Formats: sequence, C-alpha cells, structure tokens
Amino acid sequence: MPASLLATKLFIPASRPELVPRLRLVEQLNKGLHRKLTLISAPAGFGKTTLLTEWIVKLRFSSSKENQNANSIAWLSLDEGDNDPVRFLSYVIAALNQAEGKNAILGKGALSMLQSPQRLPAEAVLTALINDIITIPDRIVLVLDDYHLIETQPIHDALAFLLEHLPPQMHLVIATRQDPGLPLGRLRARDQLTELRAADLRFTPSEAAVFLNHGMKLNLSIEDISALETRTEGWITGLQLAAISMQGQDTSSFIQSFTGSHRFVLDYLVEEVLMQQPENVQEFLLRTSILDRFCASLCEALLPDAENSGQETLAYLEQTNLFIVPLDNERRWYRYHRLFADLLGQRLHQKASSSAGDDGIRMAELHNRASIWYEENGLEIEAFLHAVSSNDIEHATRLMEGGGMPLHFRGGATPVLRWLESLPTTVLDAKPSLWVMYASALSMRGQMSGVEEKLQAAEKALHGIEQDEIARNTMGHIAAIRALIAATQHQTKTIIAQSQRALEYLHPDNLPVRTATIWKLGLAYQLQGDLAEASRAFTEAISISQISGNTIIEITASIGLGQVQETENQLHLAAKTYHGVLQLIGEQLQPSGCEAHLGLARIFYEWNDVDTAQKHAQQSLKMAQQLVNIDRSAACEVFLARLKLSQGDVASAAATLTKVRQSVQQHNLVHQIPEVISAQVLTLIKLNNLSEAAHLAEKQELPFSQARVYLAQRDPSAALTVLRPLRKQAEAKGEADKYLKIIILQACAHHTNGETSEAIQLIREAMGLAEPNGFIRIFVDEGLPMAHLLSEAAAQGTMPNYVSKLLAVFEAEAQKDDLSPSQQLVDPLSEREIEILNLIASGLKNKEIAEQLVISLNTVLYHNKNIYSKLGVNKRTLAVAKAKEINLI
Amino acid sequence: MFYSIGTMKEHIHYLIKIKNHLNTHWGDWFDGLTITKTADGNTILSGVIVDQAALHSVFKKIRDLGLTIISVNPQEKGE
Repeated sequence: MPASLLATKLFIPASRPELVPRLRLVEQLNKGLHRKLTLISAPAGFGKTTLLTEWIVKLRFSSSKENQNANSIAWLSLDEGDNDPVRFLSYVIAALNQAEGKNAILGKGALSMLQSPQRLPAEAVLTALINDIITIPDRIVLVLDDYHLIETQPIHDALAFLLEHLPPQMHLVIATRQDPGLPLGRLRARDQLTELRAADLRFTPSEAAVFLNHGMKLNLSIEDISALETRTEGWITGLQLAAISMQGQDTSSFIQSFTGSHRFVLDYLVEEVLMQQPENVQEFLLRTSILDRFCASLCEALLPDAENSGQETLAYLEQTNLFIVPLDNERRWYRYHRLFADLLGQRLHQKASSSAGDDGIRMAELHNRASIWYEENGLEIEAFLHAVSSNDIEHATRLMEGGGMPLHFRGGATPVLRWLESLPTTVLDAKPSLWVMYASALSMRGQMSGVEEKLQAAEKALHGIEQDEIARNTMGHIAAIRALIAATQHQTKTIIAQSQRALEYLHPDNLPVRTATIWKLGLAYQLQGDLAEASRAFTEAISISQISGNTIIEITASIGLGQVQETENQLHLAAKTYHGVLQLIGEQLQPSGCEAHLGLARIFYEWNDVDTAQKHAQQSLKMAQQLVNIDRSAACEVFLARLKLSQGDVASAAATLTKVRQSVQQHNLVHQIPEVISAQVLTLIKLNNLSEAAHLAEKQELPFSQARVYLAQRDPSAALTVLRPLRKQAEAKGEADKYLKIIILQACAHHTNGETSEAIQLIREAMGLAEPNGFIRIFVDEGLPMAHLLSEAAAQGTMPNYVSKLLAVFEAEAQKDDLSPSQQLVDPLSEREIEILNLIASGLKNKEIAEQLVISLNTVLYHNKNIYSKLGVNKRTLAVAKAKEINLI
Repeated sequence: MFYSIGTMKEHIHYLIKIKNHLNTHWGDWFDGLTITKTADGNTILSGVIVDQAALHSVFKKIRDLGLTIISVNPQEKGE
C-alpha cells in the first residue's frame, strides 16, 4: 500500500507551437538512439525540456510514418520527494507502463517486490523489470527530467545497474543541471553515451533571430539581435524574458539599457516582467510559487480571498507565456518553469520576512494551507512535506503516523527520516513518540545499528513524564521495535519478553502494532517448538488483522499457522491455510507466496498427487528465483530432488543435490545443510552406496538418516537404538510429524528383525494417526518391506480400507516401473540377489546356481523374478547388462 | 602548516566570485552571505561557511539560478 503516485509526473510536457525548430539538436538526439544513454546536462533555462518535447513529437511522427520501428516514450519528471529508491522505481515502472499503453503489465513482478514488506535488493527489482522489457517488440525511450534533484546514491547505483544491463530495445535520456553520479567516463569510452551540453543548447545568432522575430513577432534588426544574443550569451530563458519584456514597449531603448547594464540577466528581466503584471497576478505568482505543481483549486486554497478565480489566472498566465508548463492534456495541472519558480520563491521569501508580524504573506500559513489541501485530496507525502515546511510539528507528526500505518511504510521513508534528522533533540525529547517513529523508520530501512540508540533516547525522554495513555502506548511501541530487532537475530527469549511487554503497554486501539507484535510472538513460540502457543498467537494475529484490514500480517501469520498445522500432521487444515494465503497474495510476488506453494507441494506429495506437488514446487522455485531468494530456491530444489528420487530418477536427483549443496555452502545457509544432506543420504541408499551414506549421516549427526542407513544395512537393532531417544524427544515436544515418521521407521526395523507383533502394533498406531489426514507417501516411500508389513497387518484385519488403498499405490508404482524402466533402482537389490546376479553374469545356469548356493531351483527362480522386476527387465542377459550399467556388479 | 581546504577544518570564510551584478536582496537566498558588486561588473558572495556540505548547498543555489562561478577562494585566519 504505497502512497499514491501523481499521474502528472508522467506527462510529457506539451510542445509549444512558436518554438524555434532545433533540427541540428534533434538530429544528434536521433543519432544517439543506438547508444545506451543520452545526457542533456546544462544549467537552468537552457531549454532542455523543450528540446526533448520537440524531439519526441518528431520521433513519434517519424515512427508512425515508417510504421516499423515504433518508439514509445516513458517520461518521468523528478522532484525532491523521489529520493526514495522505492518511490523512484515505482515511478519508473509506472512511466514505462504508461508508455506501453493501457494493457501493459510491465514490471508487475518488480512492482510487487517493491510493495513487499521485506526489503529486497534493487538489483532483484531491476532484473525482474529488465526481463519484462526484453519482451517488448518495439523501442522504448525512458526520459528522466530534472535528474539533478536526485541525490541518493542507491538510486544512482540502481540506474548504473540498469544501464549496465540495458535491454537492446531500451534507451535512457537524462536531463539534468549537473552531471549525474553515473560511470560517464566508462560509457564515453565504450561509445555508449551521447552528450548535449550548454554550448550545444544555447541559441546561435540565427536561432535567436528566428526566435525573436518569428516566434515572438518582434521586428528587430540584426544588430539588436546580436546585442541581445551577446548580453544573454545565447541563454534561452534570458532571451525569452527579454522578448516578453519588449512586448508593447519601445524595443530599442529597452535593448540599450539592458545591454548596457552589468546586472544579472535574471534580476533585470524578472523585475521587468513582473512589474508589467497586474497586482492580483503578482500576488498569485508569489503565493503559488511554493508549489511544485498546481491546479486551480489548489491555487485558490493559497489565495487571500475567494474572488480570484484560479482557473482564469492560470489561463491568463499560459496565454501571456509566463513560464507555466501544463502537466496534462486537460489543462488541469501546471507547474512553473523551475527557474522562474525559484525566482518567485526568493521574492516571496523576501516579502514574507520584510512584512513579518503584519498581515502580509506568512510562509508557514501558505504551506499549512497547501498541506491541508493535499491531505484532503489524498496525497499524503505532499501533505507531509508542506506540513514540515510550515514547521507545524503536530500536523507533520499526525501525517507521518498515518492513522496507525506510518508514512515510512508507504514509500515515504526518505522524507520522514530527513525531517526527523532535521529536528532538534529538544523537539524530539518533548514528543518521545517521535524518537520511536525515528527508530521504526530506521529499522524499516534496515539501518538496525541506529535503532537502539533512538529507543533509549525515547525512554530517557519518557522518564519523569506522567504515565498517561499516550506515554504507555509509546513504551509499548519501544518494546515492539525491540522484539522486531530480536526477531531478525532469532533471539526467541527476547522476542517473547519484549512482545509481552509491548502488548501490556500498547493502547488497545493500536491494532497495527499490536497485530505485528502478536505475530512476532507466534514466530518466537514456533522457533521454540511450542506449537500450541504458536498456533494460538498466529490465529489471534490473523483474526485481528482481518478486522483491521492488515493484509501483510494476515499473510505472514497464516504462513506461520500453516507450518504449525503441518507439524501437527493436520494436512487438510494446512492446505486450506496455504490456499487462503495464495488468494490474499493474488498476483503479487512475495516471499510468503514461495512458502505457501512449497507447503502445498509437500502436502500434495504426501497425498500422492505428484503432478500437483510438482507444479506447486516449480511455482515456488520460480518465485524464489525472481525474488533472488537463494535460501528459498535451495529449499525448493531439495524438494524437487526428493520428488525425482521417488520417481526413480536417482541420477538427476543426485546432480541437483550436489548443485544445491554447493550453493548452500557458498552462501553460508547453515540451516539448509541438514535438509540437503538427508536427501543426499536417501540418494546414496538408493544407489546402494551404503558406506558413503553411513559416513555422511554420521558426520552431519543426522539421526533419521542414520536409522535409515542401518535399515538399509539390515541392522535393525542399530536403527532401533538410534530411534528410541528420538521418539522420547518428539513425544516430549509434541512434534506429531516427527513422531509419525519415527514409529514408521521403528515398525520397519522390528519387522526386519522378525519381531512381527511389535511391528504390527506400531504400524497400526501409525495408520491410526495418518489416515484422517490422508497420508500415503510416508508409507509408500519405505518401499517393498513396508508393502510386506502392510499386507501382514491387513491379514490381521487392521484397517483394511486404508491398507488396501496404500497397497494399491504400491501396485501402481510397481507397474509404472515396468512400463518405463528407470535408469536407477527404486528398490535396491538384496545382497542375495546381487550374489545371484553375479553368478548369472559368470554364465551359470539356474540349476547350477541352485546347486552352488544350496537352495532349491524354485527359490532361484523366485529371486530371479524379483531381480528382473527391480531392474525393470525380462531376460537374464538384459538383467546382467542393466546391472553392469548401474555398477551393481 | 599546510592543510587541504575543508577536509577537517570548519567555519572558513569564503569569497565566491560570480559573473555579473547580483541584486543585494539575494543575500537571504544565500543564507546571509554578503553580496558585493565589483568594479569589473561581477559579484562577490562572502561569508563564513560552516563546512563542505554547506558550501555545496551554496553551489547548488548558484547552479539553480543559472549563475556562472568565476572563482572560489577560502580565506585563512589572520589573512
């Protein structure tokens, strides 16, 4: 929910009909299109914007004529408020979309990344945007006007990144009063830069002649034109002001006194121009000069009486060419030519300070009126900026607090921080909640180091103040921010202590902070393994956020709840929760979307709907990659590897896992390593490489993996020894998901050990837990031994429906293997089978094998049948070939 | 002792020479710098500038008015 964007900033200023055609410059701009960047760098008043609008008209005309190399133009007029990277990039995306037309969805992914509550690297946002731009068939030109107003290094860096990776169909144009913080030298050296500077832009004598005599219809001699050109040095604004001053005057005496003066051209001419205006127009110009842009109703809000019609005066100004620039086609919004606005502003300032005290113009009053107008019209950042300029701390504070959702969470972090930095500590001390907002805005920017200092200042300022509702709420907010800092460092005890303190002190109506705090509490309990408390906190956070419409918290708390439900084996509930999250997120790109898809992938896999599981996992992976989230990408890849493994594609599962392990180690994602290694152990078991599997499981201290290796090594007692303490632990912590896994492994171990009754008893318990939530794969993935155990359980009349459902899946798996023999084995050969295979390979007949092993011929044939089925073949010769192929013999 | 301008030292008195005569009422705009017209038709902005950031803000104002800088000179104490 960013503060609203102003459409007028995206409007390409109208090209004036009377202007001087500047064909040589247009030609240079055209030639520059095949380079990456065009830089128009010159002081104020050199006609940078005007030149660009003339060029754009011609560019559109020529491309509609040729109709092959269409150009679309994205325009962005920057102002000081755009020094926030989020706001800047949001505007760039809006400008590109406006250029591409109604149905354009450029940068949709990038935009949702900008709106995400988590801070994402600008490179990720730009990469998503660049990938969208690459799909555009035609050329797109992005114009950034008044770039000198950008002073934030991260924005220069983002632009440098964009230039470095600029798609071939994109061209960037920057108009600025000073050279931007971009690697211009490198661009020049690579011939990727076209430059137009003051010397190129100034009017030549012949252009001055066309302008004065043709454009402004003055009948001047060559000498007069030359004198004016010399005096103004071809400076376009100077010539324009001179021309306006000469309208209806004796031109030769004007030129004589003007060229004879040493006065600064502007001083001289602005006075001339202003003095010619009626008093009410002068007043209008001065008062509205505080506005970056204006419409009639906003101007009227600043005028002393309601008699002056804003609309009429604006029409008059446009008609008399008084440096106003329309910002839309309907002639609703205008701005002054920047230089003219500065001059008017200076005069206003002078007048206000000389008339201080009496009923003349008061600056604060004007800004206050502007702030109120903007607030009433829903433009909060502009309202805030004017409240700051009017020095109205109460009003600025109220706008910053934004009724619970502070402005710095809605694209206003830069102006908010700039204001708070500018306030004297005495002001902050008098209003401790300002210190807390300061800390909140810093933490939102990721500048964690400064946060605690501000919180302590707030506490110091609160000391000795009466503990009224406001003070208590501020104290609660301090604790809430401390809990947030602790959450970034996974310090569960601190999160819980600070969150509880926050909830005690926060005002009951302060729902945004309360909800976020309850969510954090849930997170801490989840980290601690206290599932009941976690579930309670998440549920509460969700229900409050639904009431207060706080979608961000509703989404993140739902993810937490879904994960808790999975841990409790409540697969149906968890799936419902995750589907709810996806509905809330809609088309946005958010880390929570990755989590929900991956959770659904796990659940559908457990339900043996492998196709749906795969779709969700791939969706999750795609999102994680778009978000450049290596941690989530790794989690998705591990899941997909396990999916491949279950489908018998061991080789590609192993390859994926090797790749993921490298990436995880390279990025130091320590918490992902156990997941990756467990999957690798499973792969090694499938490949019958038990010694390596045992080595890995032991080295990484993964008890589950160790138990599996022991089972594969036919050492059930060792497996049981490992599983016993694990089971106690899971029981103590109430970890239902682990408990179920453990008793299934225990059942397998007892079964292998020949302890059938223990095995049946355990599998019965497991089925009882698993059936209500439709578990399938947790049994099927244990392979043939599990099939045998289940058959025996069925024979004893245990849950016949569930067992036959599970056995049907075993059957289908086996058939699938027959139809498409996979390269690797789902079910490893037993040692006896390998022994027999070796004898077959050495050329012995079945009867000879029976004799050598002292078993019956029937037993040999039984083993052969199993060997063929496991290898997916139907002949002895093929079995030998296959076994050699996968290095079994 | 030699020192480079403005690295550490603060509150330096500056003389900034600007092309053409500037009206004295621009003094407010330039945060109280003194405006003096010179005989050769130019203007000197002078006054104490607290640090480099403040100096750059003056340059920005000069830039935004489209004025031309001729020279910038810091004056050492005792000069």
